[in-house]
Parts: sequence; C-alpha cells; structure tokens
Amino acid sequence: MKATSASAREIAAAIAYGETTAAATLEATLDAIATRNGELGAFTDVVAHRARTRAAAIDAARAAGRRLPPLAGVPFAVKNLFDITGVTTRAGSKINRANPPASLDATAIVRLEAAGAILVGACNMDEYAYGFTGENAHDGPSRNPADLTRMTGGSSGGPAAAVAANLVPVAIGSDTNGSIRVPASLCGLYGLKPTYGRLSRAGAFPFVASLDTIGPLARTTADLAAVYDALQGHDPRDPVCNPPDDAPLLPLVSEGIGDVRMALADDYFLAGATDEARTALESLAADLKITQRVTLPEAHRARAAAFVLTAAEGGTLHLPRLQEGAVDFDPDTRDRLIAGAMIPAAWVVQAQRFRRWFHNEVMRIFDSVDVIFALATPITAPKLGQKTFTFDGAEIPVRPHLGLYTQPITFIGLPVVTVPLKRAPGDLPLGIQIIAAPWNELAALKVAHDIEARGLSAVVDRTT
Amino acid sequence: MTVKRADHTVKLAAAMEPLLDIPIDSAWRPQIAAFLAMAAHNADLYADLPYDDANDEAAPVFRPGRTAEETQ
Repeated sequence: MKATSASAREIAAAIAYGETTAAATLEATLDAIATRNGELGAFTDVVAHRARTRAAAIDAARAAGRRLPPLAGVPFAVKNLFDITGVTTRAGSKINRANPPASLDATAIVRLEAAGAILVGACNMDEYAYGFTGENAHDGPSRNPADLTRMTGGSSGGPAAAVAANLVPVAIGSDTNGSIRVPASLCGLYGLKPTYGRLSRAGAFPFVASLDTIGPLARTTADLAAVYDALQGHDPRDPVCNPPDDAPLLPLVSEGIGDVRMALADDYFLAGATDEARTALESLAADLKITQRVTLPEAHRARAAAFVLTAAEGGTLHLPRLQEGAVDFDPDTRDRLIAGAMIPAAWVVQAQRFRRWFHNEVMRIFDSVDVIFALATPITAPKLGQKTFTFDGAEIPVRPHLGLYTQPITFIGLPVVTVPLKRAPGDLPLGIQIIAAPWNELAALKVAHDIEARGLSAVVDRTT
Repeated sequence: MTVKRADHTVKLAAAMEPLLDIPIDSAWRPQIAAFLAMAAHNADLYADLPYDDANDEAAPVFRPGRTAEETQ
C-alpha cells in the first residue's frame, strides 16, 4: 500500500492489521504536502505537531491491543473555513486573519477525529466561499492536478486539489450553491453534498445560512460513505442539524441498486452544456439503460432565486466587514457582496416563496423516480484567470456561473453525490450529479457505488 | 409588474449607498451596478409570479422534505 494513493479505508485497514503505522502514513502525507503544495496551492495551513501527536496516540493504542476506530490513522484536510483549535479561521479572506485563533474545533473535525482520522491541515478556497473558481486574491489559486494551468473549481478548490493530487485521501468542504460539486467535477472526484440539515456546520464559517451544507470529497464512494457516517448525527451547536435518522450507510452502499428508479434531467440541465459534456452524460445514461427523462419545472427561475438569496444573505452577513474594511476584500468578492447588501427585501422573500413552490414540484417527481442524473458543470476546467465561458451561445462570467447546474438543487436542499465520468486519455475531468430526495443520501450513494463498481467512473491516479 | 427591475439598479444603488455606510470607491461602482443588475434580472424571473399563501415560509429557516402545511 502506498500511503499517498491509497483510499481512506485501505489506510485504516493497513494500520489496523499492522502493515504500516499511523506515524509512517502521516510522515508520507506531510512529505507529499511539502513537495507538491507549492505548485498546487491546496493547503494554507498544516498542523503537523497536532497530527503527529494524534498519530503517536493511535500507534500506542494499537500497540496496547486496543481496538481502533474505523478511520484510525487516515489523514484528512478541511477547507479553511472550519475552526481548528489554535488556528485562525481565515475563510479564504485577509480580514479574518486579524481574528484570534479558534478556541474549539468544528464539529466535523471533532467527529472525524473521534473516528480515528488525523487532521493534517486547512485548504485554500474562494474568499468567504463566494465563487466557483478556486481562485483567491490573497493566497493565490488552487491549481487543478489534472492540468496545473486550470481552475480547480470552487469554492472548495483547495480540498479538491489536495484529494485529486493524492495528498490526502479525503477532505471536507462546504457547499452552498455547488462548492463541493463544482470542484469535484473539474478535478475528477467523488463528492457528497448532503441534505440541508443533515450534517453539522457548527464551527464552519457561514456564508448563506439557509443554503450552507458541509460534506466530503474522496477518491472512492466507500470513502465518501465512511466519512459521511463519521460525520452523521444531531448537533445542538447547529440549529438546523436535526436529521430524522443517522444509520450508517457504508454497510449498505454495496448492496446493489436493485429497483432504484433512475431518470435523466432534461431541459435546463442539458441546454447550454458543451457537446462533449452532453455526450458524456448521455453515454453513461445509455450504459445504465436509463430511458426516463424528467423536467425540473422552472429550474432557471430556481437558479435565479438562489442567486438572489445568496447575494442578499451573503451581503448582509458581511456588511460589518464591508463597513470597516472593504478595501481588504478580494475585489471580485467585495463588489458582489456590496451589491447583495443593496437587494430589496421583497426580492428575498419572493425567492423564499418560490423555493417552497419549486420544492413541492420537485417532490412530485420523486414519486416516480429515486435518483435524477444531471451534469455537475456545463464545461470542463477553465484556464486560471479565464473570465468568461460560452453557454447557450452567450459569453457569461465564470465566477458566478460555473455552478448553474448545481444551484437549483441546493436551493431546495437535496442530497447529491457527484461522480467523475470515465474519460478518454488526455481529456479533462467532468462530473455528474446523482440527485436524490431529501434525506435519501443512501440512494445516491448506492447508484454512485454501482457506477464505480462497473468501471463507468474513474478517478485518475495523479501520484508523482 | 411591467417595469424591469434591472432598468433601475443604478438608482437603487445610489439610494442604498448612504444607508449601507460602506466607504465605496468610485472605481467600484460600475461592477457593483453590474452585479446588482444581474440580481435584478434574476429577480425579474420569479418575483412577480402569482404565489399562493401556502408558499409562505413560517420562518427564514428552510427545511426540505416537508410541505408548506407541515412547516406551519
């Protein structure tokens, strides 16, 4: 087993069986970060001392004959909006660096460490999570391991670069409008955006409270499930985290898809995509014998309403920081947030009303299907610095629009697993969304696992 | 509503600017206006639809998986 390309579950098994140690695995990880982070821009903070202390404790526990938890010794990273005790939570910003270090770990970190995983550091992101590019005016861009001249996608760009480059097997990102799914698509990874309210966001710097979720990026579906299971459970620190159940999914994802009803989203979710992207999705649908097509009604309006909610809630959240230090923002973020703070309340409230209408319409679709397939991004990774791309014959800005297929889904809080399509040699990565009804992460994970098991998806090994 | 919101965003930005108390550099204003116009264009797509009272949310915390009636 090579520590820097093995899956999380392979690493945990190797440590549990004494084939390697947590300390050796960690040192290989830290070496890989030191060697490659300069070109990738994935990590902004590395917590080596903390990680070494935890690795030593895990190795000592094994030596003492104690049973290890399921992810014992697995290195992981988090987007730098998660609180890490003793580290200032920058959330991609310059402004937050004046804040005191966090005094508590985010719940996601607490739970993963309780499962034995070892936090190695925090990763680059779009400033305050307001962007789909992975570019950052203060820390530089995260770079796509598939092509270092291209975007990772964002805003969880650093976590995606870290996993896609095999620096860590899993990382935790956040997804408000597509910030796990867009980088998963552009970097060629599996990603899980859970149902809104499923996983605790406590200790994660907020962006849009009514849309924010957190979730894992990984190189296998089993790792997604294993990390998701470790993160599950009610958390009084997050007022919306009150899931109806928290049964482990890992034992269930490989049971097969049985009679799961699958459909392809048409209309909005196919219009505008490149021929390459459409062909890739339709080829997968053919392989899976998916014949049913569904239309999510008025999806373009759902995306529009999500756009306005995001701008208004984000602008309001950051108003004090804009008043005190607007010049210290990334200009691209600043101008959007200021505009968001100017939005009239009526536009926001109508967006919330439209959300309920759209939710109820989409719930009717789930009466006859269990999962819906759609592209995650309309294009493959743009070049770093690229400002526009062609969509449906028009040139539109990259930063606010790369997530136009993901935004309508987050708008109504649905769970989604992103799957990297199998690509021809030399082709850039591209992902699809497998969308399920609220709280039915299991259906999306089962289908993703089935696609992986059939060899219809692929994560390219980028170990160097 | 027959008036397009995006036609009035320059006036909206000028009216809101003193209320926000943000020191806005004049060089930023075109981009701010452009983003506000983008938001207005988006609001035009949904804000004037005929909503039933059942679409009202009981609170600003959205919960998926429940109908409007169950939410209330």
